[in-house]
Amino acid sequence: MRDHAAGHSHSSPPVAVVTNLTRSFGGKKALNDVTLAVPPGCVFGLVGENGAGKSTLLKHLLGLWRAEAGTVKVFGRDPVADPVSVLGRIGYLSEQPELPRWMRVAELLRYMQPFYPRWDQEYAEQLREQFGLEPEARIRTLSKGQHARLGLIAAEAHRPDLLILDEPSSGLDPIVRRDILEAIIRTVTDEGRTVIFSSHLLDEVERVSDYLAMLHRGTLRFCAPLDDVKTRHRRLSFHFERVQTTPPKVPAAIRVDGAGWDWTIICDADRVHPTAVAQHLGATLVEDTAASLDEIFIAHADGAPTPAVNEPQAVN
Amino acid sequence: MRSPTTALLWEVWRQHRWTIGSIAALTFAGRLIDASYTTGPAADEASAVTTLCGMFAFLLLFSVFNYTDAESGGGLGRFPHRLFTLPVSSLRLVAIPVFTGIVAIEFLYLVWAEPFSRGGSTSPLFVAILLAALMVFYLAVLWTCARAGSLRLVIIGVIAAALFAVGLLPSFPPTPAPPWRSEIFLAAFVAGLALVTFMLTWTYVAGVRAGGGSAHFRLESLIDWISEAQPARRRPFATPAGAHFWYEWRASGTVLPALVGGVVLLVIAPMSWLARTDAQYTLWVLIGVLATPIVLALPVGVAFSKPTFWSEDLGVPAFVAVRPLSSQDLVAIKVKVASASAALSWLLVLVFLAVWLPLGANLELVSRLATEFLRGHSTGAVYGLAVLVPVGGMLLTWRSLVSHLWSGLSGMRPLFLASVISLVALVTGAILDGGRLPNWLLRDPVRFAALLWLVAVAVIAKCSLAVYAWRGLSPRYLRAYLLIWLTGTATFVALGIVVWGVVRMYLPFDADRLRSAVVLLALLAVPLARVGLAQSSLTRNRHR
Repeated sequence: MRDHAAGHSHSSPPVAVVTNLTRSFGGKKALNDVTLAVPPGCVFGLVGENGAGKSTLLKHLLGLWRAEAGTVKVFGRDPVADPVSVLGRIGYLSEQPELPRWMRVAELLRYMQPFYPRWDQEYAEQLREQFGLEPEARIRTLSKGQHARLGLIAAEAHRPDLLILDEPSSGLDPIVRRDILEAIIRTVTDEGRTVIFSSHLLDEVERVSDYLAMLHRGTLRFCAPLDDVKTRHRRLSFHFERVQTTPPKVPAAIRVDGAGWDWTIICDADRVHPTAVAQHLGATLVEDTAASLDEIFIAHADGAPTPAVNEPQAVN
Repeated sequence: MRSPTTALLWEVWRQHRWTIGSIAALTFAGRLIDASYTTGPAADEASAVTTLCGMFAFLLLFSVFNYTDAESGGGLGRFPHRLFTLPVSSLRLVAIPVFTGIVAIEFLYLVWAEPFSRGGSTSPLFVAILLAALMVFYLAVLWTCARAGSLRLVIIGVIAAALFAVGLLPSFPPTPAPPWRSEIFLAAFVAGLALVTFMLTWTYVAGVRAGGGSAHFRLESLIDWISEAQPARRRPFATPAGAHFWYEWRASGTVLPALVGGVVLLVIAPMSWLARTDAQYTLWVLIGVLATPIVLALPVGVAFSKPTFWSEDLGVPAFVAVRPLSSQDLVAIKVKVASASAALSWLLVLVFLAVWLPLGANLELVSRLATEFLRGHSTGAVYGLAVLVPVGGMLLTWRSLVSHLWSGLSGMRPLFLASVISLVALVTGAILDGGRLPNWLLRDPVRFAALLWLVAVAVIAKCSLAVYAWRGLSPRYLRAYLLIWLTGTATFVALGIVVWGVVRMYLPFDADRLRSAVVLLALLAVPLARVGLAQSSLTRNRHR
C-alpha cells in the first residue's frame, strides 16, 4: 500500500484541497481554519475523538456543507457549486449508510448504475455474491454488517476516483471490518485511486493509511505521511532521583505522564534532544522509542494544551 | 410509583403532558364557543369552529396514544420492546394502553357528545362504540404492522374512513334500514371485531416477547406478502433521472393513488352500492368521488413537499444528497412524480365512475342537472367540458402536491410550518365562510373593486417573483415548466368561464362582475414562482 502510494506521482494535482476552512455550529467552532491537501493515489487517514470535526470535514468535501470561511476544492472544483461533476467521481460510505429500507438489494444496485458511467455491474455482482447478499432481500431485513457491505458495494462499484469512508467500521464485527479494509486496499492498489478514511480504530488506520491527519476540537493537529508522523513522535522515559510531585516541564512535550520517580514524555523529535532534556531535568533517560499511534493520538487528544507539534500544513 | 400500571400510565402522562394540555384547552375553548353562540347570526361560524376544535382534540388524543418506540426517537415505531424486561405480564402491557386509550377517548367523547350529536340521527352510544373500536384498531395496527413502517398511517386512515362509513350505514336509504344495518347489529359486530383484534394483538405482542411464535410469524408473513406484492424493478434504468423518478415514485408518489384507491374501494364503493336507488345520494356520492383526490392531496401534499415523505426531518437525506444530480433535476423529478401521482389518482376515480355510473347509479337527478347545466352548449363544448372537468381536477390535485415544495425542501422548519399553517387557515376559512364570502364581497361595489385590484396585484407580484425565482435556472426546465403553467392556466381559465356561465344563473347575486375575478384567480391557480423557488430552497438545504 505505502509502496504503491510512494510510487504514485505526487506531481499530480491533489484530489482535494481544503484552505482555511472554518465552520461553526451555534457558538462552537466545528472546524477552525483547517488547511490540508489530499494527494492522489493514497489512503488518507483522518483521526480524532468524537466531535473533533471529522464528519464535518468529510461533509464539506462532499458538498453537503457549505464552507463558512475558506475554500474546498475536490478534483479542482467546488463541490457545492458543481455537485454533479464532483459527486459523479466520489463513492461515499458513512457509519450508518442511509439506504432506503424498502428497496431490495438488486433494486438498489440497479438504481445506482445510471448515475455513474463507470459503474461495473459485473464487479457489483461479484461483490454481492462475495458478501452473501440475496438480490431479492429487502434492505430493512439486512443485519448491520450486511447493510454496511451493501453500502460498500454501492460506494465502490463505480470505481470512484475518490472513496470517502466516514467511520465505516464503527460497531461492526471483525469480518465486516476486514471486508472494508480489503475494499480500501483494492481501491488503491488495483487502480491507484484515492481513499479518505476516518476512523476511531487506530490499528486499522495504521494498517492502511499512507497519510494521517488528526483533528482535535476542530483544529488540525498534524497532517503528514504516516511514517513521518511516527518518526517525529518520540516516547521518552525518565527516572528521577527524587519523587516529583508535579510533572516535569519540557517545552516541546505534547503529553507528560507518570508519577513519583518515573515519567514518560511524548514529544516532537525534531524539537527535543533526549539527552539534553535528561540533563536539564536532572533525570536519567531510561528509554527513547518511537511513540505508537495510540500514544500519539492520546497525546494530542488528551495531552496538555500545548501548541501542536507541527503547524497544520498542506501535504503536497 | 405504587404499581407497574401507575408507572406505565405516568410515562404516558409525562411524555405527552403538553399534548394533553392542548386537548384540554381545545375542548374548553370549543365547548365555550359552542355554549356562547347557540343561536343568532354567529351560530354557524361558532359551530364550524367548535367542530374544528373537536377534530383537533381527537387527533391529538390519537397522537398521545402512539404507544410506540421509534429508533430515531420520534415518529412511528414499534411496541416498546424495553418493556419486555419488566416483571409485568404481556396481557397487562397490552391492556394498559388499550384500555387507557378507550377510557380517554370515551371521556373526550362524553364532553363533546352534545355538540357532535346535535341534529344527527346516530345514537351517541353507537358513536362511542365505534370510537372505542377505532382506538383498538389504531393500536393494533401500530403494533402488529410495525414492518409496514409509516404505511400504517394510511392503513389507519382507511380504517377510520371505513368506521365512519359504518356509522352512516343505518341512515342510508332505504329506510327503515334492514336488521343487518341497524345500530345494534353494527355495534355488536364492530365491538366483537375489536375484541378479536385485541386478543390477536395480545397474542402477537406475547409472541414477539417470547422471541416469535407461530402467530407472530403468520402476521409477519402477511405483511411480507403484501410488501412483496409490489412489483420489483427488474429492468435497468436508462438515465439517472429515470432511476431517481422511480425512487421518488416508490417513496412518495404511490401514496395518493393508494389513498384514493382505498377510500374509493372501502368507503365510496359500498356507499354507492347502498345508495344505488336514491337519486339524491347518487349526486352526493358523485361529488364525493370527484372531491376525493383533491381533498386527500391537501395533507398528502404537505408530506410530499418534504425531502423525505415519511420523515419529520426536513434535511435532505445523504442517500439523495450525494447523488450526482443537480438540485434542478431533483425538483423537476418531484414535479413529474406529482403529475404521475395526480394522473393515476384521477384514473382510479374515472375507472370507478365508468363502472358505477352506467351500472349501479340512479342518474335521475344527475341527468336533470346535467341537462340544465349544459343547455345551449354545442356537442363539442359538452365533450370539451367533459375533458376539462377531470383535467381541472387533476391540475388542482397536482397543485396541492407541488405548491409547498418551496418551503418543504428548504429545510427551514419555521418556514415550512408557516406554509402549512397558512394552508390550514385557508381551508378553515373556506369551511367557515366559503359559502358567504362572494355575497359579502358583492354587496358593496367598492369592496369588490378593491378585491379585483388585490387579485390583479397578486398576479403581477406572482409574475415578478417568478422572474426572480427562475433566474439562472436551466432554460430547458423553464421552457418545459412554462408550457405546463400555460396549459394549466388555460384549462382553469376555460373551465372558469364555462362553469361560471352556468353557475351564475343559480347564484342569488349579480355574478357578472365576478367574471374578471374568476379569470384573475385562474391565473393565480397554477404555481409558477413557487416551483422556481423550490430549486433554490433545495440547493440551500442540500449544501447547508
